[in-house]
Amino acid sequence: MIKLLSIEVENIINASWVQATENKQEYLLIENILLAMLEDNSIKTILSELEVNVDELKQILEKYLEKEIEHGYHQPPKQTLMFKKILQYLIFHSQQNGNISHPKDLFLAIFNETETMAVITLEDLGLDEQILKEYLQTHDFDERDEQDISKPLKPSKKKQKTTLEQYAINLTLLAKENMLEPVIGRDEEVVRLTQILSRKNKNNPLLVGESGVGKTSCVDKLAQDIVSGNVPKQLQDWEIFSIDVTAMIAGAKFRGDFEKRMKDLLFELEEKENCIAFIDEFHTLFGLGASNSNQLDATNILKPALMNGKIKIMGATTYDEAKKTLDKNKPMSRRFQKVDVCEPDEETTLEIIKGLKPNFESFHNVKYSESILNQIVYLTGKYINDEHFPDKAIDVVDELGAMLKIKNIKKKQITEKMVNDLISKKAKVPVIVKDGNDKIGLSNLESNVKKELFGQDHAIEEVIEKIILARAGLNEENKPLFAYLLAGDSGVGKTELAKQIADNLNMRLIRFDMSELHDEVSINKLIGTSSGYVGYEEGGQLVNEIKKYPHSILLLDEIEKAHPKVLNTFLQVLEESELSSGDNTTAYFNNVGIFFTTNVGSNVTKSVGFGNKSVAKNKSNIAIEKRFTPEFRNRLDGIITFNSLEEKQILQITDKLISDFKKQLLNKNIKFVITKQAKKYLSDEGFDDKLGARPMKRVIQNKIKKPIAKELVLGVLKNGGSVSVSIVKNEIKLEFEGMNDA
Amino acid sequence: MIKRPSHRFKITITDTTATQTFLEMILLTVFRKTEQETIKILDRKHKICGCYPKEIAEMKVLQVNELSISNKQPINIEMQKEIND
Repeated sequence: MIKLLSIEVENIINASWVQATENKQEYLLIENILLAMLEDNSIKTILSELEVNVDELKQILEKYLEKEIEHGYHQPPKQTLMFKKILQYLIFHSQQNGNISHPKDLFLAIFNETETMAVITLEDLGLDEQILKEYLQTHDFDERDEQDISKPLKPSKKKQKTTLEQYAINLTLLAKENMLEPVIGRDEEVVRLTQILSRKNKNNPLLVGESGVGKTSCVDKLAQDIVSGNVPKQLQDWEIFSIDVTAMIAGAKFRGDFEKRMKDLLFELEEKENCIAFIDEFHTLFGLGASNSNQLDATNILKPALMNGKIKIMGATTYDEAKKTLDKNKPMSRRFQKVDVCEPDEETTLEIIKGLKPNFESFHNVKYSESILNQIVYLTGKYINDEHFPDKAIDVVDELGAMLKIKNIKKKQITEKMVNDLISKKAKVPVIVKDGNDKIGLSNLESNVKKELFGQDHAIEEVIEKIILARAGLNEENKPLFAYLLAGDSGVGKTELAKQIADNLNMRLIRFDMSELHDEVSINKLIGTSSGYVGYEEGGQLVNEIKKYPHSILLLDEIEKAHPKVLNTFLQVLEESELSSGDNTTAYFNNVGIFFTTNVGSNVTKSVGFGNKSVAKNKSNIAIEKRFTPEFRNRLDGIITFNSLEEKQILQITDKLISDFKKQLLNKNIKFVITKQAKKYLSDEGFDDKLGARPMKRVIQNKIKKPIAKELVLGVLKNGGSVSVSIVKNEIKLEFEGMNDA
Repeated sequence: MIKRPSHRFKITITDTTATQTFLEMILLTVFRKTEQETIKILDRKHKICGCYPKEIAEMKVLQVNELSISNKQPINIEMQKEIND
């Protein structure tokens, strides 16, 4: 059976019965219950909070039971009708609600029977059913009841918390108790704040700034200034209350609860006089409490208070949110004076961190040297672009401390290497190591790339020189790592160069085929559509990729096939190294190397013929100049024209492809032998003046790989063996020799 | 201090065909009157049995009614708010 009465209620009933028996009463009366109830803690709190004199109540009841009731019955006391009714009511009530009845329910039930001495006395002492009901509705006692079992509450005279105490934090009080963190700088903003707060009307400042620049700190600073008396006379005794909007919503069960709390709060602030209310994340108030049928939201409740100037309201929000909410709401934005909180520069940030240093040192039990702090500020400024000073620097300071604490190293000293590692991890970019130790293998880069790419040494050298320059940190600020236009015939290795550089530098290669972007609208593929169009929220592919991999090589193939307007988009990338997509996310290209490739000019070379290189180069340069606008060419680091491939290089390429294939076969336990004539034959077959080295792979695949594959799967080479390739009568001949099972 | 007559109820036997002994029994047991008091009460036309708080008065009336039914002695008993004089 479901339990309907709580232990406390049972205890009360038992106690009342015992008392009635001891008194030798004929009946078990409601007054007995009330008297027994006074021993219960939850009832004690209710009575004391409703300011009922418990002692007097007790006295009256005891006197009544002693004098007015007949005693001397020896039978156990009988329950009166009223008593039964009350219990019935209690049980019925708890069945309906599915709750166990608590003493407070019993207390309320007593009021069901009027004209009893219990109720009369309670009413005399100033407590009637209405008051009790209202009180119980506004105070949820369930939780406290449970605590009471273990920890009895002392019946205290403490008054109920005011709305202000419940939903707001007194910042000036915190400042007085030195609980606020020290604030460095921000003098200008605080002066502007005090100015606005001193106005007669519309004295409501709104702090606007990017997240993490210290809007809340400005308010802290104001509170500290008020406490230290460092403000104009008229603001001297003011108090700042930081309003916790989420707490006001939490537990607002019914329509209007929240609004009532808000109203109460404003009323209390007005009563108190000289109050400044501070609402962080002010934009959250927009639309708060509004529904389909009711367009009034929290901001509308604030409006009268904003206008009459009795209380001053401060808000804080970011540019983005302000644009989305406040700027659209003219009546609201008219009532606020904006105070811009700018991102502090590196020097100020350094000072701020220095000011916070002792706090972090004592918390993490580590030491930060000055040079480390310097480095943190410098590197976060350089590499972390999507957050703001001073927050991003403070983050790193904090995280370094946490790192050391977790590792449990005895020597709590932060090294430069740790800073580098952490920021690399955060920014997903390898941070330059100052001591010149190159981890990335720059020294072998050139020889490695030259092994794979033939006949284009001048291109390789130029690109690598630029990379080394950038790695040394001597690159121009706010410019991509490098940007080259690679011109040349098809198949000479333009794309291959980008691939090899990316491979050897351990960077991701992001490739876009610009021939896909042949019309004006296709730019949306890269940077996303404008707001309101389909797919707006997805953002652009290019922006997303670069955001994900800010340290990469971007290869834009065949740009001459792209629409000229698409190319214009890249102008800003080359100039400012940033690109914003439709949904307002910005990708930074500071650590991205960009290759454009083009075939423009190659046709011209062909038509000239006779292999005069310098003439051909000039001609192709002219063609490029014609095709690409000067502002585009100017922003490039250089235009590299690739040489056409000559016989020597073709042979090298054939060699390389064959040796790659050999390695593959060796893994399958197959020996591969090829004669010089056969190689020559392949390179002759595989090279085409117009198509470059690309057909080579196809030739090798058709003439050699395919027949071998057939044997590999179905024939003699199943268990390994050897293959020899030779030329017989101007045709490739393959000889297979299988290996017998051992 | 608690003298508040208005909160007490007067129990009166208004009409009865019950036997004298039955009425005596009721006054003696239910209302715990002495024998002399019983005689005095029964002599009067308004047979006032006593004044009690509402809760108790209710019980007494109930008890008398139960007894009258079980003993087949019709009795009409009323309770009304005591009027202060």
